[in-house]
Amino acid sequence: MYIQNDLFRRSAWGNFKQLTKDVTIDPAMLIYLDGRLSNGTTPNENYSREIMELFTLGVGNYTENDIKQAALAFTGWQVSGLNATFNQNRFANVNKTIFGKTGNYKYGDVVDIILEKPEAAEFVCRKLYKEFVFYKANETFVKQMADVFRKNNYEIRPVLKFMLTSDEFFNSQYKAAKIKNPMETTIGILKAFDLTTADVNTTSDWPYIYTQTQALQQLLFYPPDVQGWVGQRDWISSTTFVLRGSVSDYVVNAMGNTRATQFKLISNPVNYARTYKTSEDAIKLVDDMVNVFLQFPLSQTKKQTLVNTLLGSTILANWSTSTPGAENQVKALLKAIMRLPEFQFA
Amino acid sequence: MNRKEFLHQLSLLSGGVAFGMGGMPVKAFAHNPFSVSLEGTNGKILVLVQLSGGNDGLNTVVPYENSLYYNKRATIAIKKENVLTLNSQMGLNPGMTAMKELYDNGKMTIVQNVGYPSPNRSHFRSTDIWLTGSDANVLWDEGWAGRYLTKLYPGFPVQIPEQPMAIQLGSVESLLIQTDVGSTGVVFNNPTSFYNLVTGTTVDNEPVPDTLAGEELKFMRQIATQSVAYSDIIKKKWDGATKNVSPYPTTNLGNQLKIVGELIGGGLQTPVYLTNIGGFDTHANQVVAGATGTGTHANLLKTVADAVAAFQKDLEKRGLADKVVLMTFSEFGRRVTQNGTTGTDHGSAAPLFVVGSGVRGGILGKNPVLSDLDSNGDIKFEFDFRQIYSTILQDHLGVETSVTKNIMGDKDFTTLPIFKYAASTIVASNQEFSFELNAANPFTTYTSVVYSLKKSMGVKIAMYDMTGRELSVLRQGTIAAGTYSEIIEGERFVPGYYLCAMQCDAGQKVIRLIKM
Repeated sequence: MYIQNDLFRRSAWGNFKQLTKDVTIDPAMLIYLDGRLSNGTTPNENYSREIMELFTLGVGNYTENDIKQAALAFTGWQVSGLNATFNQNRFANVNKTIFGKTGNYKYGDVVDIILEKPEAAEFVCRKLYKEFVFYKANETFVKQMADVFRKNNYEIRPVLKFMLTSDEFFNSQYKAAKIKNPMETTIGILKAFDLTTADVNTTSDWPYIYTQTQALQQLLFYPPDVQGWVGQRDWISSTTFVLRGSVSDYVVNAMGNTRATQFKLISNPVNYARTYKTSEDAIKLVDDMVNVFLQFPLSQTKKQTLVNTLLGSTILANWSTSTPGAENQVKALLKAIMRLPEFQFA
Repeated sequence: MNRKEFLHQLSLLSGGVAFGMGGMPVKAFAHNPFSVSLEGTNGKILVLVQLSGGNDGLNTVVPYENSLYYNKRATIAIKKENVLTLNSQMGLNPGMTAMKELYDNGKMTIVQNVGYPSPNRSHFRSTDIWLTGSDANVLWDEGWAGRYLTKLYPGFPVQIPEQPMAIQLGSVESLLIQTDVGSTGVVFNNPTSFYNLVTGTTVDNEPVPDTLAGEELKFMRQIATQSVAYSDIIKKKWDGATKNVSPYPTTNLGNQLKIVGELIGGGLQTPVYLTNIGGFDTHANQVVAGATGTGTHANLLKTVADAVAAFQKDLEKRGLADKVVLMTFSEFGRRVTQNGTTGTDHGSAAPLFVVGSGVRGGILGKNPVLSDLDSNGDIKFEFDFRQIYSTILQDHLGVETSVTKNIMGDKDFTTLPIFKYAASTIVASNQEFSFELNAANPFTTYTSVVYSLKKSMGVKIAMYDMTGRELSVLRQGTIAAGTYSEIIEGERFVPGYYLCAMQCDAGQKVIRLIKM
């Protein structure tokens, strides 16, 4: 999986055709979708189906026969140690007919043939759009992206640039529309309190993050199935929503707590509050914190509720981070902010 | 906000109008209008067990006298001497001794060759087809159970029932229980941890920004709302249940069904449960070479059989077995001919199991025909999966034929003789009043609703946003028998989703509107 992840990172700014070819004979893929077990006489269709359905074309843009024929072309590859190896004896050394073309194709040829289909560029651009703009695609814009993608021979950088500098990307309709994934949520909470990688303990803090993101349904390197994480609303159920709240509570509880077993380097709540210039004005402090933590505007009523949470039993005129108990009041405020549905958005 | 305040906030009902449940012989909730009782189900419950990945039907219910089966599956076929014999032709996978016992006692019906026309062999697409009950060539975004539940509780989500309409054991919400008007279920792994997690969650129904992002925030609020609303009743019922009435296997599925058994035993009236077990995508090494009755697939089937049988036993000891029926399903069966990796690729029709004290038992349908396969080499379906859904809706859950047809997308599916007795009708189309859309939806300038009353009664028709806030009242008062219509002016509403609800003495109904 490390090798595959490295491939993705190296290829992120590269060429999608090449990436698709490379991933076809990536050892982890050969293991995960059975390519290493498949052979020319009785091929296994697992990878052949998923490359078309999930990676390049989408349902409805291929036939069952295309899958069977492509499965032949993908044969011959096995895994030896951490390497992919080609074994000619296991390869289906015959003509295959895929999308109306016939030849003794190998895996690279199949990728080329698949990506010639106009649906492919749109399919891939739709995925980019859903990740970076909004989870429901604007098909008109996706078509424009696909145009750019094809004209640049499936180079990834130009189409990303096109998308990220477009008016569509900055449309206010999509502001704060993305539901944070579990990694973004948990790491985001740590970052909000200025914890750096160096501040995070590898034997106590990371295992906590690991188990929590697992409970929140995102265990890195273990996607739920070959499709990967669906994202957006799929992250949220009655359980995962409230679990997100318990994670933020947990991190806040560690603040200023000498007995805490995790996040020992997180700042004391009063010190944290004092990083805001407005720390001695309860109303302004709530305003500023809300602006740091939330992308959505909050109503006056809600802000007032938060101010009341911060004040606890004291009154507005008496608020100061130096009052006894201010520590717990700041913590209560932080927990309340991160328990708001608004906090789940980026 | 505690749960009571919260429910109060959600109760949008004004005095003077008594509300019942649309079409059900249960009325008079006037004393506590916002807590809709679930008594209307007559206590009937459906428990679904989803076998994710595509269960290999031929190695589950084995045609052990069929030479084609042995020809096409030379190294993975279950040997005749290993099957658990059901009749002279068919036998169960040797892992399924617990289900064999259910079968022998007439508590399990096997339905053969279940599928649908133009089968899709994508996991994701075919799963969605099974969960929504759509045709293969159309995309629906409402689960079939969700559609049933909105018929059962026509006031949802303007009114929310006091107990969850559906419970899914797990973490990622299934399409099964989603509807256009929101999710009908709650999702959790364990009642106590769910309850503890909810503490501190706040809900509100303030307006959201008028953007696509605002729609996502609405969704998030609804989930928060349901978590708060249901966590304590689930915990209370679960705490009240007698535990360990009967032993369960210590598998994940066993644990899921154990919790379902305890919730039902504790008196929770939720009519639909969804449990899940994965791992059925057996492309490779589904059996142990030379010992085909063992291996990955046999272990999975054993897990299912043991858990299901334990669940049945638990319910019997609790005296609730006649109330509950359990059905297994999987997105597809697998290819008749094995592949080169001691496994099977994606196929089509396959058998499923219906378990409960109310079933007739036995095998429904023909032995799988292996000599006449489709062009892909897969088994042709004999029964449409929606015939089984329709049968369960009508004969177990007591849904009237016309309503069942409506739930199934206005299609008639012939029911099957799965149950001993047909249930008395609980969910019927309402004879006392009707409330329908009468113009464009989505609409821009205006749309209209039409309603008719069989007799004079109290009526309130109002517009709500998706969080249940009342925006405007279109009509309220005592109205004589007859047919009427109301215009909804577009200019009064910013673009977005709205609910138009009619509440009257004979029941209530909600229509979802989209202003463009």
